[in-house]
Formats: sequence, C-alpha cells, structure tokens
Amino acid sequence: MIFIMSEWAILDYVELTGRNQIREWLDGLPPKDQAKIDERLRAMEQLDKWSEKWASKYRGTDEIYEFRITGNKVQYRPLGTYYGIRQYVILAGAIEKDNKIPKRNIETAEQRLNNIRSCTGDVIPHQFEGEGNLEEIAE
Amino acid sequence: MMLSHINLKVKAIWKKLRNKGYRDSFVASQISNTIAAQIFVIREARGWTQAEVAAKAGMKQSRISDLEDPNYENYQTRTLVKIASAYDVGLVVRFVPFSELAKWSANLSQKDFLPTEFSKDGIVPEIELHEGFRVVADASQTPATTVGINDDFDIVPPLDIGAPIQLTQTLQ
Repeated sequence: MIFIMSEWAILDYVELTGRNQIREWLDGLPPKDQAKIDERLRAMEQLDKWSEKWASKYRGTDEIYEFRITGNKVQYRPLGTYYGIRQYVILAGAIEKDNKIPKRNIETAEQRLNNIRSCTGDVIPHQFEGEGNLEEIAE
Repeated sequence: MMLSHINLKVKAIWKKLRNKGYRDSFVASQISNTIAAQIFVIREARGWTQAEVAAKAGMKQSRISDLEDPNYENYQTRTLVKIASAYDVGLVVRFVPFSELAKWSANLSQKDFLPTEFSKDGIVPEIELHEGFRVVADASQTPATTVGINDDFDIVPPLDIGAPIQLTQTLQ
C-alpha cells in the first residue's frame, strides 16, 4: 500500500462503545459546510505549522483550542486539543453565536478530555466519511 | 483487490462530490485553504514578516494578514499575481475536472505548500534510457539513486557499446 506521511494525525474523540459523536455532528451539517470542514482538516493534516488563523486557544480555557471555519452564514468552531506528538484530537463540535461558543460545548470538550485521560473515553483517526449518503440530503 | 490508502481517500472524496452543494464548496475551500497555507508557509520559510511580503508585493500588511486566513475567499487574480511575483514563484489558475481535484486533495503533502523560487529552480532534461543503460552521478561509475537538479551526470551504456555520454547542462 502507498502511504503519504501526514504532518499531523487528526483524531476523533469516541466513547468506549465506539460511538463517534464528532462524526455524528459533522453528518448533521449541510453538505456545503461539511465540505468546508473536510477540506480544512485535510489541509491541516499536511500543514507542518498551524498559525493562529488555523487553530487558536479558546479564551478562558487552559487546554481547549478552536478551529475557526466559516460556513454558510454559520461560524463553526470544532473544539479540541493537542494530544501527544503531532496529534490533535477533536473533542466536540460547536457553533459560535454572538462571538461566543456556548458554555455547554466548552464543558463537553473539557469533560471528554478528562474521559480520555481517565480511560473512560478513547480516540480514533478522524473519520472523513460518514454513514450517510449526501445525495439523499436535500440542498 | 486491495485499494491503496490514497485510492481509499479519493474514493471517500468522490462519494461526497456527488452532491452539487458539496462540490461547489469543495472547490472554494481548496482554493482558500491552499492559498492561505502557501502564503504563510512560504513567508515563514523565507523568514519574512507580513510587512516585508506586503512591501515586495506593493500591498498593505493587513492584506497579507487577510490572505493568510483560510476563511478569506475574496481573491482577485491580480492580487495573487502580485504575491507570486513577491515570492518569485509561478501561479496556476485553471478549470479542471473534479477527478483531478479529488486526486490532488488526496495526495496533498507539506511539499505542495512550498514551491521553489526561480533562483533555485531548474528543469532537468527528460532522457529516455534504452535497455542496459544506467544513470550515474559522476564518472566514478557508481549507480546513482538520485540525481539533483544541478548535478552533472553521465548516462553509462553497456560495456560493449562505448564510452559514457556526459550531460553537463542544466536548463534554466
């Protein structure tokens, strides 16, 4: 098999049951916005260094970072953190409202990070492909 | 039949491209991500500030900052030509089939973000080798594994044919 070594491994948080709520969140977004997030993540996997424009620490948190992705009139803010060498784990999906990320999304991300550390949560390589078929989603 | 890792990535992208909305957004995202990444990566590799790039391109520093934002999509070709000139690299703007775009996305690597500037660039002539001939880096006759763009190299024929043909010219 041919492998292109990525600069970064982007991971999804999963429950111990294997349920991937990151993928579920992405699958529920409009296809146009899914494309924006997919392509951003593909570029970031290969980009050696992420500037603040690509990933920035969310104000008021110690370890939670946000990706800033502009969708169709929606500001997506997948939350995550650096995890080991050249790895980044996406912990929760979020949408910014009135220039703020809802507190419950931050708390979810922090809880899931704690779950990983206490072995009550896990990570897997980011799943770019969901179960759904985009052709069936009304535009 | 086992599909390669790259083919699996292309297949996953292709499946999503069947949706028109996804396709349109995919194109816009490819452009904005790649342009933002390249302007940042090239600048960092040269050790330049945004102000220095701006001065070379005849633009304001704030415009370079905007262009390094992957969410920025209001590109003008004229602006990109100015940036290409400042970095002394080429620029390609063309329409392509989605199959090509999908393969490009799946094959993306860090080196794609950092094109070589003209002064370090060059073209190695394409050579068709006949059976028994081999390329060596110099006259020591050691088989070369790679030949650099500015290296002199010989094409060595089988022993019973004659002396090495030496190519010393690199096109620039």
